[in-house]
Amino acid sequence: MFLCPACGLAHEPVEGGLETFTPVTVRPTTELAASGPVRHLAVWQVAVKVDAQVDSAWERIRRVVSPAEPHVYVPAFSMIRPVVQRLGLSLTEAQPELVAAEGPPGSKSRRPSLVDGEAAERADVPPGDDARDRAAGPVTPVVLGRRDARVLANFVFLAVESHEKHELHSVEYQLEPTGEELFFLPAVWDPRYMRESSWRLLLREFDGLVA
Amino acid sequence: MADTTTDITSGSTAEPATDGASLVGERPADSALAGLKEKGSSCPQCGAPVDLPGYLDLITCRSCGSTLARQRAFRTRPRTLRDAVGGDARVHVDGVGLRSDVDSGASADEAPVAVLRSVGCSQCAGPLAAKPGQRILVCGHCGVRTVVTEHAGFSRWYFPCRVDRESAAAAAARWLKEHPGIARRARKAAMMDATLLYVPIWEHRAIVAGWEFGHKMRTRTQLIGEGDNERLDLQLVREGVEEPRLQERRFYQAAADLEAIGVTRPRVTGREAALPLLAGELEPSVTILEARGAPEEVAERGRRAAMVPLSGAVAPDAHLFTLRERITLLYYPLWLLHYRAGNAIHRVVVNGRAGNVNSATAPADESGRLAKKAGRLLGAAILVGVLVWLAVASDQARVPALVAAVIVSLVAGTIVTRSGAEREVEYHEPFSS
Repeated sequence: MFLCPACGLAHEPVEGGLETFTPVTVRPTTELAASGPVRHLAVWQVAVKVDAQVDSAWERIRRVVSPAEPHVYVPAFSMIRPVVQRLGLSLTEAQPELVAAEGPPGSKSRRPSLVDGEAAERADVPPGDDARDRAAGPVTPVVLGRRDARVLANFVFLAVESHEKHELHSVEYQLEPTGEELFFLPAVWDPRYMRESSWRLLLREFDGLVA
Repeated sequence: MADTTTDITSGSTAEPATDGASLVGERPADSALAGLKEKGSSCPQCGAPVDLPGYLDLITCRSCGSTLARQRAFRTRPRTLRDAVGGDARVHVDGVGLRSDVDSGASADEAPVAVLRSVGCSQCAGPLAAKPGQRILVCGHCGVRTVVTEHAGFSRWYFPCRVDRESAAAAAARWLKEHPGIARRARKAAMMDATLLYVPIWEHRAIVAGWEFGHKMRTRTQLIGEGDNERLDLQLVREGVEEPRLQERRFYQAAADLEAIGVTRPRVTGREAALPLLAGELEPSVTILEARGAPEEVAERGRRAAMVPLSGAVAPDAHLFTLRERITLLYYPLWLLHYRAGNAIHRVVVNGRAGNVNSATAPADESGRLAKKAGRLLGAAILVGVLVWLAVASDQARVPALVAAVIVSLVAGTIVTRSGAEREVEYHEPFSS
């Protein structure tokens, strides 16, 4: 997946050429104080048609977001299992309301910080982040394509089911992806926020999960 | 698209693949495409001679710099009498693909032939430099970008050889000296020849994602009883299994009949540094085994292997999926050395990367066996002597003693004549297949 840094268009190699589409950059919906630069994490929002048991976690999520249809969220910036599992699980369970921001995620924006000052802010940045800052910029690379996201939607779906039920011995379900959309979710890297592999999403649905 | 071709086969047709491993130098007639080098092919752009090894699909013309690709076409063979004496069959190429044609329009059958095609820009027909592993090519003339897919669905890589000829011979000599059970005459045998061999190995990589659910039984120590009767006891407990998987799995399979040349498939972990196999990358003196098997079959086997549950659960409910499947042909260096021991020629195969012995044969040490046989014969001779003495000394026991002496003599004779062929020690590197 190639992202144009100038116009924000995404290009994905498909059979017979490149497919171009526009990813959606999401606006932060929380005013929580969080230090450090904001990054935009690439996440696939996969629309799915699911046939699951009545008492499944998915059916509960469906009832909560009704009349809208729930989506499965697959992190697209990492292939590390805990990241895909935890972040995908949290997003799928929370079903956040995503508000599109104006234009592509261009210049590096900063959130209000509890601890003011440049030096204090630099201290919050994890070691080696300077290089990552320059390489990735405010937008993470997209390492998972559309086809990968379709497959990994199953993985995240099962993570949700496994998370909700204790001692799950078997799952009967049918999942059919019907569409995918690429989002860039605003987040800060916070080493204290272990739940989502240190990524803290700047969305109001995650306000209650402060470490 | 500006495709140009040249007919380089002069009527050669495809032959069925041969059984067993075959060396490139021996030309196995695996397909019509394999015969390019011997047929003296030429560049379709400038006419310069091009040597494209059988194991490659791409080459850059040294004369004009054009990137040339191997492609299969269909040549029409004339059947009518007129065509047989004067008809001229030719290969015609259009912009989309390769077509067959014949001037006479007579009935004909089709046979595959190999052609060289210049890889050019679809916009301006300018030359494109294509290299294995490169996904996007940029035309040097007009700047148009072209996305390329891997030819035949897989790429070719090789492991650079890290062991030279002398080191390989030294490793072989060391093995002969140290390995147990080898005949003394072979211990100090000198190597007659050493050939660097590249053996093809299929690699299937896939990322497996999913979950495994179920349960497994586990033993647990538990303190039971009270007071003086207190003791530790093992108890079987049922434990739930909920294991997520998101990991790469690799599957390897020899792409040649290695058994036929007495080679064991070297162990590949997938973490070794490999280089893309390009024309001219390997020295001409190197022997490269022709790859066999269909990548689709390898992919199928690799997929099956990747989907095997690993949790160890009893009757697991596994939901596993594969993504990013990839097939690669890896070429692994092995030194094939021969030595003479007595009248027989034996081989030692040395791993070209690790320097250890991959597989070997040697004459077995017979001294123990001969001593045992001599002991048995001596025992038989003593027994016969006793029986003969008994027959002479005793009238009553004469007949049974003589019969027994004859039987023992026959058994001893059988032992002597049943010496059998020279035995061999055969060694194969552990943890390989």
